[in-house]
Amino acid sequence: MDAPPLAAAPPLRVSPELPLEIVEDIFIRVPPEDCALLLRAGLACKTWGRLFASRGFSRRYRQRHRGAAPLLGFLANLADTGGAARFVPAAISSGGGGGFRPFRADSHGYRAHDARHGRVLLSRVSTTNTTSAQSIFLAVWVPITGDTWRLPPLLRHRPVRSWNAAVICDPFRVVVVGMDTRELFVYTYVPEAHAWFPLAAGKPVSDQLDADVAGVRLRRTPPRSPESAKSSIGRPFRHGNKRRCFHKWEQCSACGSSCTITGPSRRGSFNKCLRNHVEDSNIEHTRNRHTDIVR
Amino acid sequence: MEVDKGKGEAEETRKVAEADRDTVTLKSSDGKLFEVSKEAAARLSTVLAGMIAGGSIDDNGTDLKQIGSEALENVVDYCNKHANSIPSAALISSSISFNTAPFKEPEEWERKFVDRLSHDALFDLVEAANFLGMERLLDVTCHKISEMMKGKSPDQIREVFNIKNDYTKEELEEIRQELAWAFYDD
Repeated sequence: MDAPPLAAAPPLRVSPELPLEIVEDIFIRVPPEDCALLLRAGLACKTWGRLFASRGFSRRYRQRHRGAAPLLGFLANLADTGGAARFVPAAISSGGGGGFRPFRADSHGYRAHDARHGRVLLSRVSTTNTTSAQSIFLAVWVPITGDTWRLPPLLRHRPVRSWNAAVICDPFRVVVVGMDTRELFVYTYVPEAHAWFPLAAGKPVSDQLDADVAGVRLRRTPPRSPESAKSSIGRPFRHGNKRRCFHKWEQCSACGSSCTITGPSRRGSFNKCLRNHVEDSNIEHTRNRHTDIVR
Repeated sequence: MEVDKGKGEAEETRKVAEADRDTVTLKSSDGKLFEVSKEAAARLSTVLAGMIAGGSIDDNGTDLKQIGSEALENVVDYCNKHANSIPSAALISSSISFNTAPFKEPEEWERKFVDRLSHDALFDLVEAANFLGMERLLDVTCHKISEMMKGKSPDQIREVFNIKNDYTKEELEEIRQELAWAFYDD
């Protein structure tokens, strides 16, 4: 072993590529408020793009930032848009930038009806008298990608007196519960078929919701297990007043964070990356009269 | 052994013969020797702890071929500073795995420690920390780099990490259009 005489040679280091595991260690620390940074980093090269879009990264990212899903903004059905929904971004990152803004903030002619796991359910603002409406027009909007899917109109033979709808996930479905002059009805929209399927129908015989309507249960039924939650359909409940309301949908409470996109998908890993980080991690919905909070 | 003395860390007076030394000698890829307290090394580095426990520590300098002298000096410096700072139980790595453990903000001295490093030194150090299984140091250095990335464009990120773009122009344009919001410059 002879000590090299030219040991003083400069290190010649032009930062070679870091091992991927370290890249992951670095970017897993990006706070959820600055999720745009992950997207920009994913654009550095394909390997990184795949890394940030991978399920493993998403899982670890979520574990690390538990409960820290940022508020991206909220949807407001505004009077000055004729009742149509507008996405109002939340100023989340103090440094400016990095905040999410949808490609199109206004959903012309549609109001926000429900939002869950990144999907916003829109219903067409009715221009005519609602009491005689026989069709329900819904659309699903994913603000993060800008995708909008118009669902086929849900047609009824009789005027619909009251209805409500929810977008659920895992699997992605839209469920409508309503009643007309004669009966209760429940429909599920299945995106694979791009069609509505009647799930249950029955007569509302009394002021009590009818327990023998298949698929419809009163809220006071005992708490379900997570497994049954996934398969059960709507659970309308009664408000304090005497009118029947179909307000509350709880299907997704057990859904956790993984959300399979089954709708039309023409995009690559980036949207998936985004879904995993932003949308899955929480575009939540709380009903607050006129606004739907999107987290 | 006629090797360079590492920045005065390796004292000529060290008693090689003594079996129960309370320091370990580490040798960088370019042959420099550094001494670090055995206790701190074992506590802060899982790899060194394993070597000490396994008896594979060489009194004449344990070879760490993957780590250059500058990075190793920083590692040793960190160990010494850590040993001198208030021994905070919270910083000692627990059984929770690294990536899922809740991150503790760097302490003031740790922040200063990484702030003074050059870009290359920081990247060398993060690799050294990874190699030696020094979770806390890895935590602090990764945190620093992730902070440096704030507000950077893909081009700038590529520059910092010295990586090549392998997206086509069309692919980039398409993604940028889809995700325009991520590229706003406020």
